[in-house]
Amino acid sequence: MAATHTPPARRRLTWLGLAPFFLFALLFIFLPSASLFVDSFRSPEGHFTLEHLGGLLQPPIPGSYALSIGVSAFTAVVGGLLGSLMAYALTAGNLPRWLRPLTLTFAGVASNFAGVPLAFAFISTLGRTGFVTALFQDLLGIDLYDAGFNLYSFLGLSVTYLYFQFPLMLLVMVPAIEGLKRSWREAAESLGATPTQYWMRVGIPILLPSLLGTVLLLFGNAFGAYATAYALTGGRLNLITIQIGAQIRGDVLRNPNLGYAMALGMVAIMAVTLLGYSWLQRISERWLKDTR
Amino acid sequence: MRRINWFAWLWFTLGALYFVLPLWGTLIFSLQKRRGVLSLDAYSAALGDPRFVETFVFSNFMAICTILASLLLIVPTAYWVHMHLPRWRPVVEFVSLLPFVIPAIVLVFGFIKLYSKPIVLLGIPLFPSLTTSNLSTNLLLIAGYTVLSLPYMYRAVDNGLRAMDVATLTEAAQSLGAGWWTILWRVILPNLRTALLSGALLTFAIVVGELTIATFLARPAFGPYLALLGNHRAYEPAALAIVSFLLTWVAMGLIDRVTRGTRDVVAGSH
Amino acid sequence: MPFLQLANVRKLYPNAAAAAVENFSLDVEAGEFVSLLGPSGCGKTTTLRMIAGFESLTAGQIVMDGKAIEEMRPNQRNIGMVFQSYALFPNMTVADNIGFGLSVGGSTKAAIQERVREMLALIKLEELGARYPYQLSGGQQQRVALARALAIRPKLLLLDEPLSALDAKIRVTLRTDIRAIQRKLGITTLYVTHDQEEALSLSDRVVVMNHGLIEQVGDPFEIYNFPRTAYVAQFVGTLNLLDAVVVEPTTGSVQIQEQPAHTTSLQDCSPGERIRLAVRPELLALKSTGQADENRLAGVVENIAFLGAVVRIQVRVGEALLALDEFNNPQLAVPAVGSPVFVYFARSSCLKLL
Repeated sequence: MAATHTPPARRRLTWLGLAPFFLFALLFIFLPSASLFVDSFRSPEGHFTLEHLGGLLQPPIPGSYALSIGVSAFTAVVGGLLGSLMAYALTAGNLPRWLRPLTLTFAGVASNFAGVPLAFAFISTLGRTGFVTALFQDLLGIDLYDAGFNLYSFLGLSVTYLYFQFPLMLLVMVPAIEGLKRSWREAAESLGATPTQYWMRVGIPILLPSLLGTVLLLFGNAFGAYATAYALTGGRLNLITIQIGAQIRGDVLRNPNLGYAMALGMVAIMAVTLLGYSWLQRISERWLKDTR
Repeated sequence: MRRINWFAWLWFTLGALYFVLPLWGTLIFSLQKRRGVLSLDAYSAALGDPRFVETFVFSNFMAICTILASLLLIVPTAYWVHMHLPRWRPVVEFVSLLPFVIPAIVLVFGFIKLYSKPIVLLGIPLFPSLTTSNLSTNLLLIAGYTVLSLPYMYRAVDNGLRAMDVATLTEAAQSLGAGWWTILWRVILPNLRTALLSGALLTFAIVVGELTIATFLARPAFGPYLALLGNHRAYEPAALAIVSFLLTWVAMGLIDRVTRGTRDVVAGSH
Repeated sequence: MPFLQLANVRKLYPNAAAAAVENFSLDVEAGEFVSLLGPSGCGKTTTLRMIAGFESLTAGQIVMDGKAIEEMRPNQRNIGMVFQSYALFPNMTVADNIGFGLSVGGSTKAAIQERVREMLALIKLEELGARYPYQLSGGQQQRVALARALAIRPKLLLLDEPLSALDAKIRVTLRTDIRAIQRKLGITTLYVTHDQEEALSLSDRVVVMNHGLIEQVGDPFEIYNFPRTAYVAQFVGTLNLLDAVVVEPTTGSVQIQEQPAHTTSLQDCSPGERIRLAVRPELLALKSTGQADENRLAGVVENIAFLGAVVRIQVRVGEALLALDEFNNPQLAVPAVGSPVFVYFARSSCLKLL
C-alpha cells in the first residue's frame, strides 16, 4: 500500500496524526463504556463483586433479555427469509427490469425509516383504529384484536421491526445473489444439474455465509433498538433496552449498579453477534475473492 | 423465452404490500382529522405548532454540527492512515465499528454516568459536569451523534480514498509543488465529494429524528417532541410520520443520485 | 457422417443490428481438436455457447452423434465445458468439484470416489483433492475445471478461452497438457481463443472468424502459409502487406512501389489492376546478391528491434514499410539504421490476397 516517504526524524511523530481520533474514541466510546463495566463489578463500598452480575438472574431481568433476544431473533430470521425471497424474485425471477431500481430505492428508505415515525406509521395502520385493522373489519368481518392480535405485543413489535429488517436484508442479498457468477450456473448445468440441484448444492451454499452473517446483523440491529419500541409501547413491553432506559430515568429505585450490569450484558451479546458476523463475512469474502 | 415465474411474483407482491400498506394507512389516517372528509388539518396543525418548529430547527442544527464534527474528525484520520500508517488501518476500522456493538442506550447511559459529575483525577478537578449548561450538553449530544455516525462516515470516506489511489495523487500533487493544505483541499476533497456527501446525508437521516440520546440528555430535539406528541394526539403524529418518511426518502434519493448504485448497505440506529 | 455438425447456424440477439453468428457451418470429426480463432466479439464464444446450450439458435441446426441437440436443455447434452474464469464452486473441495457431475447424476459414492481419483491422477494433482479452490493457483484451478468437465465422460469438450486468465509461462505448459490429455482420451474438442499462437500450436484444424462469419477453415499449416483473405493473413502472425499494380497477369509481373517484382499466379487479373500482396517477415532476407528468379526491392533500414531469437528489421521501400526477421546469432552483421539495403524474397512466398 501507500509508501511512506517521511524522513526518519518526522516518522516518530506520524502517529500524532491519529491522536485526535483516538482521543475522541477514548472520551466518548471507551471511557463511558468502561466506566459502566467497571462499576458493574464494584460494590457501593468500592470492592470487587459479582453480585450485580448475579442480579441479572433476578426477575424480571432474565425475562427482559429473553424477550429482546426473542424479538430480535424472530425478526432477523423472518426478515432474512422474506428479504432473501424478495431478493431472489428481483434478481432471478424474470420480473420486469424497471421494478428493480424502484424497489431498491424504496428498501433503502424503509431500512432507514425507523424510530418514532415508524411506530406512528404502524399505530395508524395496525393500531386499534388503524387502516388495516379497519380493512379487516369492513371487508372480512374479522376484528384483529378480538382474534388475539395486539400491536403492543411481541407479534406487533415484531411486525413493526420487520419494516426495517426485511428491506435491509433485501439490500444486502440483491448484490450477493448478483455476485453469483453466471458461469457457476452454466458449469453446474453442463455437468447435468437441474436448476433445483444448482440452487441446493451451489447457489444457496455459496450465499449461506453472507446470508447468515446478515441475519446476525439484523439480530443486532433489533437487539439494540430502543426508540421504536419505546414510541410504540411506551415501555409496556419489557425489552432490555426499555429496562435500561427505566434505570437511567430512575423510575425503578433499585441498585444502579444493576443497570450497569444490564448494559454490560447487552454489549456482550452484541459483541458475540458482531464476531459471528465478521467470521461469516470472512468466509464469504474468501470464497468470492477470485482472480476475476 | 421469458416465462412468468409465479413464485417470484408472489414474493415480490408480498414484499411490496409490506412496503406500501403502512405508508398508505398512515397517509389515509393523517388525512382524517376532520370528521367525515379528508383534509390536511393534521398537517397544518402539526407543522404550525411552534414547538414543532423549535425542535425541528434544533435537530437540524445538531445534524449539521454532527456532520461537520464527524467530517473534521474522520477525513484527516482516514487520509493519514492511508498515507502514513496503513498498518494502523485495522485498528482504526475496529474502533469505527465499535458503535455497532454499543447500542445508543448504553452509550448515553455511560455519558450520563461519566459526564454528569465533575471529572476529578487524583484529587485535581479536570473539567466540570457537562450536563449542567445547555451549551455543554449540546456538545455532548453532538459527540454522541458523531459516535453513532462513525461507522457510516468512516466506511464512506475509507471507500472513497480506496477508490482513488491517494498515495499516487498526493505524490503527483507534491511533484507539482503543492503544499500539504493545498493537497487536502484541492486534490483529495474534490475527489471525495461523492463519499462525503453520502456519508453526510446518511448521518442526517440518522440524527434528525433520533430519540434515545436526545431524550436522556433532555435536549429539546425533534425525536423526543414527536414521542411526546404521540402520547396525547392521534392525527398529528401520523402527519409527521409521513413528513419524516418523505425527508428520509429525499436523503436516500440524494445518496442514490450521488453514488449511483455504489452505496454500501448499512444498518440504522433504531 | 461427422461427429458434430453445425449447419447454417445463425444467432441474432434481440435489439442487435447485426447477427452475432451468421451462416456458420462446420463438420467436426470424432476425436478432432478444432479451434475457433478470432478477436473478441467475432462470434466464437457465442457459437460455443450455442453448442453447450446456453444460447438458443435463431436459425440452423446442430447435430451431435447423430442427434439434433439444439432443442435440448444444457443439462441433457452431456457436453463438458471449461470456462475462462474456471467457475469452480468455491464452497466445495477439489474432489467434490470433480465429483459434482456424477453426484447430481446419481452415481454411487464408491464410483464417484474412483472416478475422482482417476481424474486427479490425469491432471497430476493427486495430493490436492481435499483443498478448496481459493487455496489453489490459477493454473491448478483450471486443471481441476478440466477434470470436472471430463469426469462425466462427455461426448464433446468445449473450452472457452481457458488460458487467457493465466500467466504466460503457465499458459504454455497448460496448453501442452490439455492437448496431451485430449489425445489420450480421444475426445472431440472445440477450443475458443483469440490467441493465434495457441490455436496454431494446439489444433488439428483452425476456424478463423470475423464479424460472425467464418473467414477460413484449415489446418494450422494452411492457415498460416496460405491465408485466403487479408483478414486471416493479418490476424494470424505478422505480415507485410504490399500494394501492387499488375503489369502482366500471365507471367505474374507486378510493380511494387515503382519497382518490378513477380508473384506466382495472377490468372484472374487484368493489367493495371491494383492488388494486395502479402509476405511473411521470416521469408524476407537482406542480401547483397540473390538468385535470378528472386524478387529484389531496394530500400533503407529504418529501425532495428532485437526480439531475442530473431532480430526484426524494418526497411522503408517507397511508401511501404517492410518488416523482416533474421535469426539471431552472435556473428550476425546487423546493418546500420539509415543504410541502403536490398530485400530479397522468393516469388512463391508472395501471396495475392482476396
